[in-house]
Amino acid sequence: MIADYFEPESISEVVSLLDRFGDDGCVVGGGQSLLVMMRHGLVSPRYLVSLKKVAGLSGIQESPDGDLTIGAMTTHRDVHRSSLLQRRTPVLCQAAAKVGSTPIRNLGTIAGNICHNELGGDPPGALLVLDSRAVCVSVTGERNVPLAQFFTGYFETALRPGEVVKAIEIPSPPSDMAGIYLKHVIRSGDLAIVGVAVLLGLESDGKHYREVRIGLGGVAPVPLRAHKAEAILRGNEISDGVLKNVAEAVMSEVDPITDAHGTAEYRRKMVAVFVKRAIRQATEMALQKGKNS
Amino acid sequence: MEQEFKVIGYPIPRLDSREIVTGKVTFGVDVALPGMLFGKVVRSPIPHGRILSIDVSEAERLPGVVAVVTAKDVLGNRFGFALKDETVFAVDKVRYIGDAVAAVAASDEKTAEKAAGLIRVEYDELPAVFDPVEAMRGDAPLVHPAMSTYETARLLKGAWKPVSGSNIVHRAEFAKGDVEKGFKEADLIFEDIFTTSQIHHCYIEPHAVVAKADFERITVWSCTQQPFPLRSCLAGIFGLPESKVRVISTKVGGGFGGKIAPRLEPYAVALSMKSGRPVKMVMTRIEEFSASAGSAPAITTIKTGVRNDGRLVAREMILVYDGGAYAEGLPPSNRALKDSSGPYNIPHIKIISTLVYTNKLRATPLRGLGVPEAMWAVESQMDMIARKLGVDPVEFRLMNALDEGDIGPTGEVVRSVSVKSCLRKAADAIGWGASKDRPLRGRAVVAIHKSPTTYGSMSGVVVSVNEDGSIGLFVGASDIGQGSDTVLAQIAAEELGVSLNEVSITSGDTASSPFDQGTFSSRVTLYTGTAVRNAVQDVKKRLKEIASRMLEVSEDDLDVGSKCVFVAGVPEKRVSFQDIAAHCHTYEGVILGKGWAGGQGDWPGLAHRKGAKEAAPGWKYGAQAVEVEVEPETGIVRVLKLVSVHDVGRAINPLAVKGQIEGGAIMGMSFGLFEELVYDQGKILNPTFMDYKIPTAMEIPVIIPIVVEQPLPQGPFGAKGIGELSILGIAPAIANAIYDAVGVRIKDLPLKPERILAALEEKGG
Amino acid sequence: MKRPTKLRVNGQDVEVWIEPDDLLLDVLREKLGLTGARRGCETSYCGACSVILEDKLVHSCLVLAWSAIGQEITTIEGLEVGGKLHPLQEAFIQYGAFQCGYCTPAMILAGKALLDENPHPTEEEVKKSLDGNLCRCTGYQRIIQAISAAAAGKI
Repeated sequence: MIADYFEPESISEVVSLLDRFGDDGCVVGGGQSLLVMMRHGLVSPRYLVSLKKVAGLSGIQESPDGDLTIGAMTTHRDVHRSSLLQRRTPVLCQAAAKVGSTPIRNLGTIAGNICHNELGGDPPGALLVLDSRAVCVSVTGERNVPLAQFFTGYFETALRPGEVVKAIEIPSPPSDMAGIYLKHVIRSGDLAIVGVAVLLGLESDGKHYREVRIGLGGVAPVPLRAHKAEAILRGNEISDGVLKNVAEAVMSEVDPITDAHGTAEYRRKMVAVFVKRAIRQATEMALQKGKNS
Repeated sequence: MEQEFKVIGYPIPRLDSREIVTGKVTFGVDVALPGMLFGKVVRSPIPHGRILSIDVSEAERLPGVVAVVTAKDVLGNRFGFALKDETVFAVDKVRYIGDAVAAVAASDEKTAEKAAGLIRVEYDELPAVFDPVEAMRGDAPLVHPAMSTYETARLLKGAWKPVSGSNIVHRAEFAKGDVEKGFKEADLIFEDIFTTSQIHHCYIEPHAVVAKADFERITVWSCTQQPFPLRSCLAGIFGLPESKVRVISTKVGGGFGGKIAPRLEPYAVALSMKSGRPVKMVMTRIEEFSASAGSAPAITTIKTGVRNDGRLVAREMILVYDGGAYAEGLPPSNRALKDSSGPYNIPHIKIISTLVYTNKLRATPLRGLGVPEAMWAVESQMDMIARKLGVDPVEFRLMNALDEGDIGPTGEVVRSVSVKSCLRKAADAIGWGASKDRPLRGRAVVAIHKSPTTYGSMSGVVVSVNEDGSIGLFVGASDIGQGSDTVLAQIAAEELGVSLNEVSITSGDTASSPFDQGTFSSRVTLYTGTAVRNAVQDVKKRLKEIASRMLEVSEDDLDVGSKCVFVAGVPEKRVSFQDIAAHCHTYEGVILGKGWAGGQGDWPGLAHRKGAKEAAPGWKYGAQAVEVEVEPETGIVRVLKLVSVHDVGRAINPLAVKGQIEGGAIMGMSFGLFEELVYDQGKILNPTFMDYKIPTAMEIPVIIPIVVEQPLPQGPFGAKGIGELSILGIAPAIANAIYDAVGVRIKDLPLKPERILAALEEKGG
Repeated sequence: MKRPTKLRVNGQDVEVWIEPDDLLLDVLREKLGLTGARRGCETSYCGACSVILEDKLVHSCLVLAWSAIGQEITTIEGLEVGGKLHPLQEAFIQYGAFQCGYCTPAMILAGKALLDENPHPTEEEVKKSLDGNLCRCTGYQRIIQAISAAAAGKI
């Protein structure tokens, strides 16, 4: 039973309220995850602190160095449609476009998504390959948490009590890399059985991988980077043969569960299929980019 | 159409169109009465156990709680629409996770929910059985030890065949010819086992009822598909005469068979009686998935003997239906006896159908009534046989399909048969034989049929003429969204020669019409429609009778049309309905017409009269076809195109008929590809729309509904009905198309990606 | 603790008393008598509760009523003006795009949200606009046809 709600207009007010309420307080962004949890009695806050009226939480900024800052309250719809992000981080736009369904994307926020950290969510994999950081604020100050350290378990994050994500920062995304997000579901609207984000760049000879980043969702207690698989590709020649090793590596890096949507066995097989697909498609895109530049 | 019709046969928008598109429809959840309370059911968390104690004291003390009821507050009368194996609340033991133990009424939903959580029940857990084959073994725990003391409903009178002292609630057999002889004559014999999973109806409107009851009178607003049987049921439970019980069908937000049996009404009535106030109860979606009812999944062993020339000689089918904790699965398991073997000319048939109790969510009729499960096996195996023989699967079916005048699967002569023309149309529409645009694509064509519901299937109708000459039509069958109100009004208008807007239909209220068995099993157009026609013919007679006195002309010289009765050939010599009504109300009486129609037989209704040689009229035939694309890497199957051809006799309203065909076909596709209730030790693991998959608009193929009209002389203007048919053949069509695409055969539903993948890996693909 | 609140519904200001945990769906249904938005599930999957908030289709079961203050809320009841049905409503009738009608208001509003922003959608875009709305009766084809017909001005 909610006793009261607050609509502060500054982030300092937000954290001061959270500090005051402790376990009885909770932030609400788009509400698309929180309200489901409340309906099922999984969380029962007494006080809600809305982020809706806080200045500066929506919108996407680009610094002179090309670093991007996405306000916490930016909806998936707005991430998807942002012409700035479509130019700089298309892999993230593709991921945002795949979240849930149209009404969910209309209200659900990017920060809400990573804080909820549900298995099979879409943005995390893309944010991981972009080396993103979560800007976390509390009464004691601000800290940046690399997303690779942000996710700590199913529905768990590194957020401390009283802390709220203010923005997601993406250090200047390299313009010569090609990115793609692939989502495997049996039916539209489902959480990903497997979600694969790939960002890669080729050497100037167009025959070797310079840099490869693989972000995975739905296949482990947390969204993760497939470091072993990445290492195999880095510096290696573009070939079908190397993809076989990549598939094996990635299957060994994941730890999927069995649920009503698929068995662990199936998820493991699918992560290999979709990593290979994503690498092939991103490689094609990178080659095209190379030709066009 | 040979005749020129004025009202039927046109794609007229439904009578309730405006209120639907403006959101003004009254569903059960919208009913509000002064002083109304909100009720919740307390359900068992264990699959099988004795009830040791129930402590309601804390719930009763919660502010806002007005009444709590348990078994001791209700007469112990058993009920059930086929077998009376249930009491309102579990008395001695609970039989599935979800079995009702108590109910509470409070001032609002949240308080009722909270109070339900405060009711403490102590159980002594018993060993449970979850698999029907295990449940049939001699040492299995008995779900209903007292089964032999149960009574049957009128429907089952004398025809219930339990195996006493076991979990086999019904085992029945039907034979035509001699299958042993047939198998000896066969050159090849095919024996396969097919299985289906339990699926859920997934109507988007959750169950919603409001009960206003005291110890003398009960009024219930309910989303029921069967107001009259519900009335009988409540009267029986609460010991009242039916004349003191009124059931008002609210608009039904989808039924598909899942709103036939009482789900919330008995609790709402009990709470209303105890509290002295109206009580509303609405199911949550989780409750719907885990505690209402699902389909009757079947394990089907099918043995078919065929000659080298491709002629089917013998078919034996053993169907084991998993009934869950209560025996509502009797109608589906019984329908299998008539329909299982498919629309084919087979001299020797034997069907054994068994329904078994288990400690799980009960089975209840679900669109198709047990026949989708049988067609899954038959139409899959037909393709397997064709391929083995090296015969084109469509040709193979055409070779064996029933023709007019053949002896059908029930040993009776079939009429108004159209299997072959439907098959040809379906094959043509899917592009059978044409080359495929892309690899990994497959096609299939299947044939389907369904018997008319000849038992427990009576409809009565009353027609009246109002003072201004407009027409009142009083029908007991509720419109559950398929548009029956409009179709029945069209039939009445056509028969009487008036325009549709002259007819006002009242339906689904036990206080305002004669008995009607209800809306299920594709029966309303055929039976209630015929009853409407009969009632209108009766009122025409009455109109002519009065008009003959007014015009001083013999009744035989009179015709009816344009809201008048006139002398045949002399249209100026007439009296209007309005004049007749005025005359009648002053001098004669009132203008009423009555009619009835229905199936005429006992369970299992193999012949509508004992010893009859002709099959009961109204068998429905069709054919369906799909084109799919398989993705071998992931096992994902996409249905690209779906064709559904149905002989509906006469499409009273082509818009409504095509809508039914499309909706049913997608349900069939979903049954084939996506749906299953996932269990772990009796607990349903996926009781939400997130985890139980039905398709969104993103998953649908191009759907091509094709209506064939081979009029049925005994149907209203030749109509046979459509209802469930289009769900029947899609699942096996998809499986056959998968085989066509990638050469793997899967015999278990649903055809989920993992199964496809596993089959491909086994094949070495 | 109830608060008197002004909401803007179908172009009009309405005053309601709401609790901090009241969902927009329940306020519309219970306090404003607008029962076209309906409940079909508890996990915001079925979409029968859909309404338009500002210009976006949302699940009203996932909107706290107070968070909708100051925003234009459009429900199905707001589409008919002066007794004249919206072209989408007419299209649904003409194409027989409903059977039981439970999901119909939500489907029509999904169509409206789409066409108000994208007057000439492709069939894929129409399907995508419906991806948060379930129907069990129709198989969706007629709904897609109705929305496309309304877009093409065929009504």
